[in-house]
Amino acid sequence: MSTSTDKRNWGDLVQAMLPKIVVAPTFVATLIFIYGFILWNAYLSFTKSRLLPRYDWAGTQQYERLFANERWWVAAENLVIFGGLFIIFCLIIGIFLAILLDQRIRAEGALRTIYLYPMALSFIVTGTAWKWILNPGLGLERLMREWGFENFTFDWLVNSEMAIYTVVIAGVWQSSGFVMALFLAGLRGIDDSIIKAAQVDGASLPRIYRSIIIPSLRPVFFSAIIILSHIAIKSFDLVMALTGGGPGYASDLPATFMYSFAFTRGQLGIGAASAMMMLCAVAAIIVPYLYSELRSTRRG
Amino acid sequence: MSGLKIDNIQKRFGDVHVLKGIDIEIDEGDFLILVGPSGCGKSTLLHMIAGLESVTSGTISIGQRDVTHLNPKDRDIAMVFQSYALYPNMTVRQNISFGLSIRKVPESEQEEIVQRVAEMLQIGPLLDRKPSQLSGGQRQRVAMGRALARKPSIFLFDEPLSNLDAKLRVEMRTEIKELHNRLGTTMVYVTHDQIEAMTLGQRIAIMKDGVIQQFGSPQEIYDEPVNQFVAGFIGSPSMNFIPCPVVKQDNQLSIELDNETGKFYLPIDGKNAELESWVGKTIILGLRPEKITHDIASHADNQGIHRANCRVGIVEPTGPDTLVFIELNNTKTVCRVDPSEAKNTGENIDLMFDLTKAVFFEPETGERVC
Ligand SMILES: Nc1ncnc2c1ncn2[C@@H]1O[C@H](COP(=O)(O)OP(=O)(O)O)[C@@H](O)[C@H]1O
Ligand SMILES: [Mg+2]
Repeated sequence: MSTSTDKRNWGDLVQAMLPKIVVAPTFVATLIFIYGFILWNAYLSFTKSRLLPRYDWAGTQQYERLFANERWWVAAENLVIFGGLFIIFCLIIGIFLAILLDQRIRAEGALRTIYLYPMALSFIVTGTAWKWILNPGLGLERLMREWGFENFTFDWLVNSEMAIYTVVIAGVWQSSGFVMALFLAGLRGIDDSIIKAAQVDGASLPRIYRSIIIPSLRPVFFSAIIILSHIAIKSFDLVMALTGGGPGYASDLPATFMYSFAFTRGQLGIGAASAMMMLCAVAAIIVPYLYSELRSTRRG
Repeated sequence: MSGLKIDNIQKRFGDVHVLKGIDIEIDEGDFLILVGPSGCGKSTLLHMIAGLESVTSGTISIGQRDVTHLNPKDRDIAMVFQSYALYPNMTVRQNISFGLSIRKVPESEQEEIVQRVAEMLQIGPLLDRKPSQLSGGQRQRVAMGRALARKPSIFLFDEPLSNLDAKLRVEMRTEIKELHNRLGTTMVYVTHDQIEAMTLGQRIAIMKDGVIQQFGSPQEIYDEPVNQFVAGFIGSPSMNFIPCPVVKQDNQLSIELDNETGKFYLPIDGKNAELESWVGKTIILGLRPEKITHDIASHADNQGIHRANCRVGIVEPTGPDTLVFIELNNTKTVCRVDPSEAKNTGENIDLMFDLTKAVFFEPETGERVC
């Protein structure tokens, strides 16, 4: 009798512990490889590390060197240009496509897949494909010239003023379908009779979208902007594949800056400092978001 | 002039024939109810009146004006939706004034109208809230307010009360009726609830499968249903339908009823001509529960009243009346009995059958015989 209750207790115990046991390894791994390394990186950014980590405290010396570095400011400015345009165009195109698809057109499923498909590619593939398309001697420019437009030039990829905009084009191509899917889900969640009520009230379709539907999608805007801006800040592979940061360092983003200083130029300290700056930027976006999310779930 | 005339309206969604020729005509100021089971096409018809759904064939006129192909905004109508359909991003005030601002009503006048509507519906304190901060009943009021803000020639309601709890539903029902009395505007009201239909309507159109079964006043429909569907749909508890053989008993046309206590015959007065040919056949007797009561001595001498002793099945007290179930010709039959006269299950009760309002239906088609 007592042994059977013992067994049952054991069984209960295992059952109760099982989720924790299963989650524990990933928890430990996350703790070490993400938060542990963040702390390590934070410490390194205050040392004199160059090629290899060194642990002698150097105060804010690396940050001072970072801020004095012209290349860092190019990367930061590029991030503002890239991030801003990337987010704006993804939103505009995504919303536009979502509204069109929401008109219950035929073949909607196929179209949705077509627009969403780029999201399934890695940024490396996108970057490489667009590198070929935009390469003056290989892609679009050559094609147009062969078709007889002799004066057609599209050399943004090799133009140091314009290179960052090619990154915008490829990024928007890749991500606007995803924004479309987000907004389409939001639009589908809106009660049909709201639109009918507005029609009875006398509103035209554009007015209905402008005054009622798009404003009531505010939470979707919020999610889309958060997701897009963290994609923008982390952007690394797209630039590496498309322009490699060039010409020169004209299309560097903070992530590629960090990589080249930390791992190819033997300036670990500056790399660590720039990584911390990126972390701060992401935190500045994510923390208010998490805060408002958590608050609303606790309330709701 | 803002009556409504619907002339042979048809509606198809692809292969699905939803409305099969609807004709309705009401006068200005009438309260029309469209009632019927779910899926019979009530909302579709209402949306066609509003212009939100295209017409396959037929015409709709409001007043003297043919509006069949006009946009909703040009039809001079206002509508209340089942799901309320409030604009989620706007405050109550903006919800009410949205239609006005689209029609370019001056701001000061808008404010005046909002105040008037808010007062009428007692939603003044809610004006600056968003719909998500309102209860179901409050949303319902705001939806009504939005419709009331403009002075349309017709109000359309699509099951406006079906999402409210029972008590609120009864209150709002009364309020809508008062509103109609006060405004005197033509109203078309869709519901699947026959009690709502009876209490609110001046004219009721009962629909089934895209066809109007009967169109008339509540009392007409209650007393003189044209078929078994209408008879069974209106009234609660529902009318009893008892298949009974028609016989000649002592040279008097009668129907034969069989209870556990034995057979008895109820003579039919007044409908001999129509039922003569049914002798020897079985007909469906339609008798409302309140026409089978306990023995009321003062009624005993009235015409068409007959007594019988029956075995009591299940008993359901409702408060004012007790519903007693008996078995007649193997059909469960409800009787409405005074609570003090009700008997317990298994006992016998003296019942009084009042056949003056009895109706008879064809067993196969359910059509009214007489
Ligand atoms: N847009 C539509 N496409 C196809 N069928 C529809 C459409 N709208 C309604 N129906 C069909 O028409 C019938 C009547 O619908 P509805 O008018 O909403 O019924 P009710 O309001 O009486 O419950 C239903 O069988 C429904 O399936
Ligand atoms: Mg309906």
